[in-house]
Amino acid sequence: MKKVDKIITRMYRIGTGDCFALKFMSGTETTFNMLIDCGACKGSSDRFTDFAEDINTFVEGHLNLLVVTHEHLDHIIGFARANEVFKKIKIDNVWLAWTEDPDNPVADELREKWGKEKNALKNAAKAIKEDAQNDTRTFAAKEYFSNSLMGLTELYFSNDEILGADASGGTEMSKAMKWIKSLENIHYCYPSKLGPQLSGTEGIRFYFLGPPQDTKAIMTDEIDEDLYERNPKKPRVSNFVEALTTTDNDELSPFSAKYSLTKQEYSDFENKYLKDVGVNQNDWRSIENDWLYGAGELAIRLEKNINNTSLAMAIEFVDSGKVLLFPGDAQSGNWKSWHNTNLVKWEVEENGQKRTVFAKDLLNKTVLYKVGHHCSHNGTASQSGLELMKNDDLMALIPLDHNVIHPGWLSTMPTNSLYKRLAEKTKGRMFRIDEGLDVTIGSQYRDKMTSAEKAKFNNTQTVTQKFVEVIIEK
Amino acid sequence: MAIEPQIPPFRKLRGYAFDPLLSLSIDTAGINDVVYKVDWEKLEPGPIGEYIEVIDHDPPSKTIYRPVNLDDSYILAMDGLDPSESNPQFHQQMVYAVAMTTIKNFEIALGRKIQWSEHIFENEKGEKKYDYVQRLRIYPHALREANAYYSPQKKALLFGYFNADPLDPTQYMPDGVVFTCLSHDIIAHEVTHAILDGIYPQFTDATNPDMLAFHEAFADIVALFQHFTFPEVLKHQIAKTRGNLESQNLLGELAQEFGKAIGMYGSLRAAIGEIDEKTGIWKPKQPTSQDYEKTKEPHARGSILVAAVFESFLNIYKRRIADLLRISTGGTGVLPDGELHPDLVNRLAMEAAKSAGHVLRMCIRALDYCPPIDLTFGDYLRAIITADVDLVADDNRDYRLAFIDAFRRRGIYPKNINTLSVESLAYGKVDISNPVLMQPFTILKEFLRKYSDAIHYISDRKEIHEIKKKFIAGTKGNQGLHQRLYVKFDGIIEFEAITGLSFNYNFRDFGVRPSKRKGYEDYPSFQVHSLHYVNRVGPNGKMISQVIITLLQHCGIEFDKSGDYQPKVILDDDKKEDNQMVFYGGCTLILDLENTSLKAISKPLLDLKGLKKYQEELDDSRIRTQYDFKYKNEAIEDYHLYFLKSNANAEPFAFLHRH
Repeated sequence: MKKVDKIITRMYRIGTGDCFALKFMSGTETTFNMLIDCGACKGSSDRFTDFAEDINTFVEGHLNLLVVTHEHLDHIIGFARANEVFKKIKIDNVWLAWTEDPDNPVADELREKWGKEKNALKNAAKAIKEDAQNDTRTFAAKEYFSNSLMGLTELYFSNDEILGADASGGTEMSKAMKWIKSLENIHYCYPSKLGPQLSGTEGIRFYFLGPPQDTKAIMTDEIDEDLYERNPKKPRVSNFVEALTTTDNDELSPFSAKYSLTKQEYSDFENKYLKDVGVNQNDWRSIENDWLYGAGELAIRLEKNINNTSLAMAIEFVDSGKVLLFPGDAQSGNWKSWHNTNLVKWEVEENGQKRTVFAKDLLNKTVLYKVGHHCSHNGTASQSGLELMKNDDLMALIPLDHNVIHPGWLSTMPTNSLYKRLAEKTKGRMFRIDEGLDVTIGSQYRDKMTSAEKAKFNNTQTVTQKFVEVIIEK
Repeated sequence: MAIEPQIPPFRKLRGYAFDPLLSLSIDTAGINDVVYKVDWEKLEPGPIGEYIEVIDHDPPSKTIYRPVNLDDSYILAMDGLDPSESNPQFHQQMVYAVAMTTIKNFEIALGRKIQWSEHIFENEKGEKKYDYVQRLRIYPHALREANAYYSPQKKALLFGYFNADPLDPTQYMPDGVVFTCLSHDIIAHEVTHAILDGIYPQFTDATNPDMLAFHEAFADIVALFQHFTFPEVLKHQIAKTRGNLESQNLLGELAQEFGKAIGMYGSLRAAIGEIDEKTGIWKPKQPTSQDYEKTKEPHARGSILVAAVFESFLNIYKRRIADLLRISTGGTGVLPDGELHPDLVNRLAMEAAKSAGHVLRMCIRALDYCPPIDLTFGDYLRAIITADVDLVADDNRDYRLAFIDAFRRRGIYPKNINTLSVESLAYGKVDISNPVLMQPFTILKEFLRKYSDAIHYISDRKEIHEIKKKFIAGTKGNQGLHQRLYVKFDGIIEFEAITGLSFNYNFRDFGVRPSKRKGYEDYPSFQVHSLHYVNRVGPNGKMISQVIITLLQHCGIEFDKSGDYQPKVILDDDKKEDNQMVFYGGCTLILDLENTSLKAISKPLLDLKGLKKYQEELDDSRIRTQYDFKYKNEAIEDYHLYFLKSNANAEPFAFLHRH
């Protein structure tokens, strides 16, 4: 058996979103091909197909492993929009986070809750867009809100699906997920477990760090250090979500029906107090749509929740201990959970010796970091994340593209403080989708590299129109 | 012969002193059901009265709840409906009772009727219109979220209801529906936002880190001190704490139910202490001199001001009860173990109520001494002190020192002050002995006396509003204050040096646009925002008779797109590009009608120091501060990052209260 001695990692430049192809090599021979996610927050079917063909060529029509981190459009929509190409590729194994496991009742409950919340969000986004257009007084503010909400809702639905009258025929996202789940050999990944040994990965070990099995960590970003024992969080939807999704109007009110006005009374009341009718000019005080704006809160929470379901994975060269870290879009609840040393640890055997590995050890030896959540302020933990990455050769891949992004994301991606720290930590060895290696902040650090470091670095990276490629030797 | 029954002074309405949660606990159930005594007024179903209209439209439930008729004889006979969470008509009664109580407290302290802010809109011709708004609207069931807010756009309070998500299910039922409109504290807080907006609409414009924090803090202060107006609650808590209100008690805490229902350890906010998340034990908050400097988030920053005011109260209260404690303990002042004598409890409660009433009135009265824009906590401290000095000659109980001390302990210092003494904090009289000022001010005083005569005995709020408008804008043949200021102070740099506003021919150089008023197109635009006649009597019979005028003026400033600080004056203030900012100057003038003395509290457009040397230039340090706050401020909350645009915010309070 030949050991893997080199991993070539490609970050595809489709747009803000993740699409990473990894090729494991032993000498000049390819032993294993894998793909982590394929999505971008925008992009036509043609564009995705074009990229998918490139992936197909790179992996020679054969993926030993497909990893899908979490159910956001910017990570999986490629599987729907370029489905014809992906269907051609032979896929041996699929790894998904435990939150997709159909045999896990907790995962079931979560998916049901989030399914409802996504629909609520879609209905609210559509209604708010209409409300914003009809309100001349505060148009600018509402338009801005509406655009941001659309951006967050488009993590689950395409723009057309949100604004279309009926999307019950199945969304692109559900098509993508359905296709992924129709593949064979699906393995659901649980934290503190090791990846199953697959042929072609000799000398490589896969560690699963997240998503945490504690639903509280997923849903609230909180980790249990409290004195009080919190009850396990029951995944239930709020009355806000109910109001946006239920079809039974009689069941909506929290009060007995006897308190409500009759139809005729309702209309008289409306004319007198809520509309412009004759002398009663009250339309400006109507609050018909104000409650919808609670969707902003929901959108943010849902995005974080789903981000926290990210399958976070470390790929380790067993001999050297060098690590490639792919955290998906894990947010603080997920990151923090890795460091619960009672729960998250791995027993490994090396030369007949047993050893316990903790997340800290993996972070210490990380040489390639796929930056979480497109370099947002909470997609990379500081003390329990980046600050623990101490390897001198650290490189960072940032899946961020300012040319293909929702306008609402621009203010958080990248977050300046994190961005600067990444530049310091990697000595400028950081890549962005839109800028390739020409990341302005990085160049000043690269100028300080010794000529030997420069030469070494230049030999390990390639930037083309379609992808950024870096080579990690064992 | 039939005897005409007298109009009753009050309408009695039952309600919660705090919120429904306290009715569930054996310890507090007895004190939580109180009777609000609301000034009598004829009500339409709603209730709809002089100040308030409760409109119970519940859009997410697609329904409207039947409005309660509080004049119904059965309901009258029972002091209103029974407190109940499941009857929306009781909710209508509760918001009405608390809102009216809060309004009353303001009117007592201010000595005048409160008004809501005007409805400003563009008519079909594109003209800006200012409509009088008689009633604040209250929607008790408007939202489905853990939120309630005041909408300055709609002159309405929107209350939400939501499913509880408590930390500790023994304290609150998970998933139970929580109604924010049943919390005294939340209602009083929101009504206060509306009242404050009626006085200073510009206070919703966050030009510095204190503005929104002040709105929040002030609303909390009013809600907190209203706790002391419920005698049973007060006595209960005095007995429980044995008179030590520095220990944990309900009086110093806000929104118990809400806090627990959203998964906090205790109340939503607390003035004196909080439960340590690690130990689960209540501990007092220790102020540090860094508090003010380091805390930026509006609620957290606001809570510093609340804590400062509450500490002032506690110190005043402690001084007031020291003798009582000595009398009741044979001179030691050390209370023995066990329960307090009920007589002592009563006397302590009386002192607490008195101190709380004084502190609340000091806080409210101070509003008249605030600049109309860009307020800081330091300005507010100066306002409190000045208002008190004006009315109370002899501060024999050291109330002012109590305030100064509590603010100092939190690092809240006003700018441009040499020492933290009453003398330097209180705004002094402006020297107007110079004839170019004395003459016009004397004439102005005569005009304002006419105003005070015209308005003194008017009690109809709309009429008050109309008289005020007439005196500001003038009528055919009668010059109003606005015109008079043009005529009297045109080109008088000495007046500019008082107000910090441009009244000279060169106003365009400072980005001020010309007036749209007919005949005044070559004069700088400015706004007489308010005109109040104030007639107050102090504790020693001291009378004050003042007119308070607030003036506003603005210009446009454009910054370099590079992000460097390179301000450029622009004329058109309607531009809304991201690198353009409307910069406001404002001034509050307090003119004594008896002796023509003048106080001026200015946030200048033009640099005051320069004006004293007859140099006119924009106040660069104020522009710089606003620039830094607006553009260099790194927001940290996701909601902010995603959903709020810096120069367009439809509902400034909606996001602030979201959780």
